[in-house]
Amino acid sequence: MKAIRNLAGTLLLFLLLAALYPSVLTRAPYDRQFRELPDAPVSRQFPLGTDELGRDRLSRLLYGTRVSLLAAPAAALLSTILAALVGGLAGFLGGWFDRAAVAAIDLMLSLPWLFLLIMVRATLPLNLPALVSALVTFGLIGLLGWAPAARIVRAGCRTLRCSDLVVQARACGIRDGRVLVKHVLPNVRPILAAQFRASIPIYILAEANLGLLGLGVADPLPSWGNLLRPLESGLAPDWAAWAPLILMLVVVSCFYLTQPSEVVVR
Amino acid sequence: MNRQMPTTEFDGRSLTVAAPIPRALLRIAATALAGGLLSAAMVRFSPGFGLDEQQLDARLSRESQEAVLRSHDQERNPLRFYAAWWKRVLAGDLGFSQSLNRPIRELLADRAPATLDLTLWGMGGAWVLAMVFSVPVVVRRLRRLAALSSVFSGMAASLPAAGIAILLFRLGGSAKWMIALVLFPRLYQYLRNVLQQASGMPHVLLARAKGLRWQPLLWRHVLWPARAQLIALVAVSINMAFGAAVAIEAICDIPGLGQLAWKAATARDLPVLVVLTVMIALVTQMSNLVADLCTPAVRSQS
Repeated sequence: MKAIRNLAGTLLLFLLLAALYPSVLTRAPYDRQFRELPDAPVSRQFPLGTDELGRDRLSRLLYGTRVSLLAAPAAALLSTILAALVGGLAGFLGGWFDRAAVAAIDLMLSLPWLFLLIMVRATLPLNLPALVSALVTFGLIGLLGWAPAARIVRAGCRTLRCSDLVVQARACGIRDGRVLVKHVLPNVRPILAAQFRASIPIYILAEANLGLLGLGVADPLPSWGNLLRPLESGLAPDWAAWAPLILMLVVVSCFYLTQPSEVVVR
Repeated sequence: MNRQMPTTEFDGRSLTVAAPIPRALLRIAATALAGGLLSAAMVRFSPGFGLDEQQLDARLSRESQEAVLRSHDQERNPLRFYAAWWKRVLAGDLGFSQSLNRPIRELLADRAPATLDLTLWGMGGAWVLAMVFSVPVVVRRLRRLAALSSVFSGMAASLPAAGIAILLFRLGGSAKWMIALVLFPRLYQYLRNVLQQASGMPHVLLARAKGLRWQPLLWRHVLWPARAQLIALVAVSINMAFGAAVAIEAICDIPGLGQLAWKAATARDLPVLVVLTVMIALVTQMSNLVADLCTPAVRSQS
């Protein structure tokens, strides 16, 4: 199992490097249109062919990989910080804040995540500049993804609130804020790290779902979601059009393989 | 301190429940109310709310243009809109969809059967698949099947719901199987963990050592003691199935509630979104309540 984990980690690293330095594999920028070569087949110049606007598919795939592999961890970090704040304060303080936080978590978890994402994303402008749309999409995923993690952090903090170390710290006269920051949150760090790791593949898939439904990152900036959109059209796509889905399968599988097998039900 | 737990009747038996039912129902009502208000406020304060493409239609007279503008007047204050909406709902009127130009009650009646059919068959398929793969792995300890099912579920978990929909659509697969395939990895992993825990208990090991056949072992000593977790998993899978239905119905153009949710969101159809939010929150919370009602009783009996 360790060998598979190492292999998955190496493959992820290789893909990340390829996404960060796409010029090693292709010379064409992701938005350059070779107008005389729309829908070009696979060739030496274009290893995955070109799309309907004559843009190099390999270049777009690598830049799309960069967007997903950099933005998904950022969104996961945002949701983990929010989960630590809400769950940590709710579990540690208790009282009305805890009840309000539990109600908010219940509300978030009672709505299917994809429905919530679609609803919130659709309320924001869709004709945003490409980079802003990527920030909005992943920012939204991060902002709406805190609830499952917050519930686990809250449970951890509630246990710690009654632990000997916290009772002793309070008996020494340390203020609640300091106890939370210095003694409680460091002890839930493994939970937060596990939630952060588990969130990354889920957020990659969420962006792909949004992109496929036309609510993700806007053209011309490529992302795995909008690269999959041609598959949705009525025309029969060639095999190279499936490359983003295959790459996503490989990357998300690698993420799952590099972490302990835990189920995150959303 | 030994606290007396409240009890209630369920399926003709006296059950112990974690929280009194009225309080749980109040909590569910409050969650659904808050969800509806949140969706109303979100749509109301979204940029461009209240603008209508009919306003660009030069053929409309000035009076018609003003009428179009006035049609959004009652939605400007989300609190007022929400209070008026609940008053109408209590009178049996769910409102009118402006984007689809039909009463919401009619839309729900037309589309609910398709989603119900899709999600129920999909959930059934996912449970069958998860059982078929996890039970032999746990009870008969088939290592090759364990590896094969892990690979299969891992691959299904690594694809987005909309991606699975496109893949199966291209292969000519049914939408019910799309839902089943989206739910399968989550159910399989959880089910396998639950069954593994149950099958590692001392009485199961003893029964196995005594040479008990695997069928009675499975039903009496593995599945039956694990039924509390399985009931809870059924409740969770309802929520997951609807989430998958949104993407799958939108991709496959199935006229169900999922597609309605997607269309209403993209058209910013406030009344439809509020109805769907409240409805989904209620269904999820009620299914969780039923699972909660069963779980402590099952535990106390085990």
